[in-house]
Amino acid sequence: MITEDDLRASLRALERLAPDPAPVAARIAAGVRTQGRRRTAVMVAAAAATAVAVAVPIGMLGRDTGPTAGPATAAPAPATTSPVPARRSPLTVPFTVGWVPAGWRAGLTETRLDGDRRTYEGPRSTDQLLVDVQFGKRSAGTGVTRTIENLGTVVVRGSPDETVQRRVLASVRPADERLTFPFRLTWVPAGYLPVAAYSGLRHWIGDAAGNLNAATPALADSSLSFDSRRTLPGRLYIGVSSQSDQLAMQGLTPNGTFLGRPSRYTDKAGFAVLIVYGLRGADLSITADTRGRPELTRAALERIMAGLRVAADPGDPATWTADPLP
Amino acid sequence: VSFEEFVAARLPALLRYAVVLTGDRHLAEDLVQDVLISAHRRWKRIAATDRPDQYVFRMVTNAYLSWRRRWSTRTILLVEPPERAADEQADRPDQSELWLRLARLPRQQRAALVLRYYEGLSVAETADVLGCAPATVRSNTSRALAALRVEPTFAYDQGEHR
Repeated sequence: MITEDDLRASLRALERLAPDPAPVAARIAAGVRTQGRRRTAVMVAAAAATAVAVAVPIGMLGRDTGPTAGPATAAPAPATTSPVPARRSPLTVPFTVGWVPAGWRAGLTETRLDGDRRTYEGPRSTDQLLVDVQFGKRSAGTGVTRTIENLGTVVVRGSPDETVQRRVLASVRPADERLTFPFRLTWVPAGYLPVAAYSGLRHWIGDAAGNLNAATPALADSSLSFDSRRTLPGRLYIGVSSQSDQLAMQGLTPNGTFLGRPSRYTDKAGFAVLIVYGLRGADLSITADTRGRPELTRAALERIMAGLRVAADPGDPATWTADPLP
Repeated sequence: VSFEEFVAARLPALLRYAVVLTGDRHLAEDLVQDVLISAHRRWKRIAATDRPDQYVFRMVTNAYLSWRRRWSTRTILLVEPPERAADEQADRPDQSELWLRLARLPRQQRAALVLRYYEGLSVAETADVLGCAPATVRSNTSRALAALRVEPTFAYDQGEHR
């Protein structure tokens, strides 16, 4: 039985994830300054109460109308209020980012049924820039935003200041790009379809003590998520990692063998996890949220793992599964 | 106290609280950043209260409870929580399991647990922060402990508020 002291210790352990206050403080200060400018602009508009108010910078009056404030040099794409398009395949990222600050590198690219994300990592472990395209209702939160026709609401946030965020935002353009996944799945449980995926590089990786360390070379990482219903974020994750000691760094050491390789299987609190280390040149993991899904047994996870084959074309989703993808 | 002084003094603690509350570093950043920018707008009124820190603390909690679910892939893709360091496994074998169950709790229950067991607030204080009745806090805490399979202390069973 778990005790209340265990609970307190678990909660305290989460403190280690707490972000560095300095960049947050800088963004708060920037946000406060922007707020002051917006208030001034609204007051000017109210006082004029005529067509003269049109001269008030639009970008100061609302967040969704375009990155007009700040010294961004790239011209923003035309803003629009057209309805957000319906989501298509979850395996294509529909936008590119044309500019990020010097020294920043592309990290993971993620795509789901309800949106997409490109991640950029900076020179320090705490530097991160997130560029999201969201479908449907836009969530609350910070960052600079604009709506792009035939794309959706684009949100840029992260540790760089607002001027940099707006410049990044201005460089976003619609353009399809497929993710990559190095394996072909010859079997998944009946009715399970991809609902999310990511691929890319991790330049910083966490260890068991909660520290972030530079990954040299960068860790190539990719994942496909499946579910039998169109729910997010999916119940079945199949992950591939190129750096064989990454999982060991997280304290996930082998407790058995599978297909002649060291492996680890755990089934706790409704999460079943099968990891095989160094199989076909990578660490492979399958995580299943088994609540209410009796079909996601250990045998099922092992069958998926045993059925993985090298994909003919990692950039072509048609080669990732035996059945056609939606 | 000025807004700038308050941020300088209280930001680290607010970020720690937010990360325990949300379990997500980026979400915690966003939450605290949004709340403090919003607090700046009405800082005169907040600074005039007896406990500005408690007021902002309540704002963070309310923002967490009302926020729409956001990206959570990052958390879920962790095959197991990073807290499973070998030295911790030896004396607390169930910590990772507890962490996973904690992540699944409904927000009201998680907030009640964090306030009671991380912040060390009484039932009455937790009810004040959450803006609900003490009975609701007890009920949420009890359900959360059951979901986590935590054995409540005798004092808690007896309805002790602290």
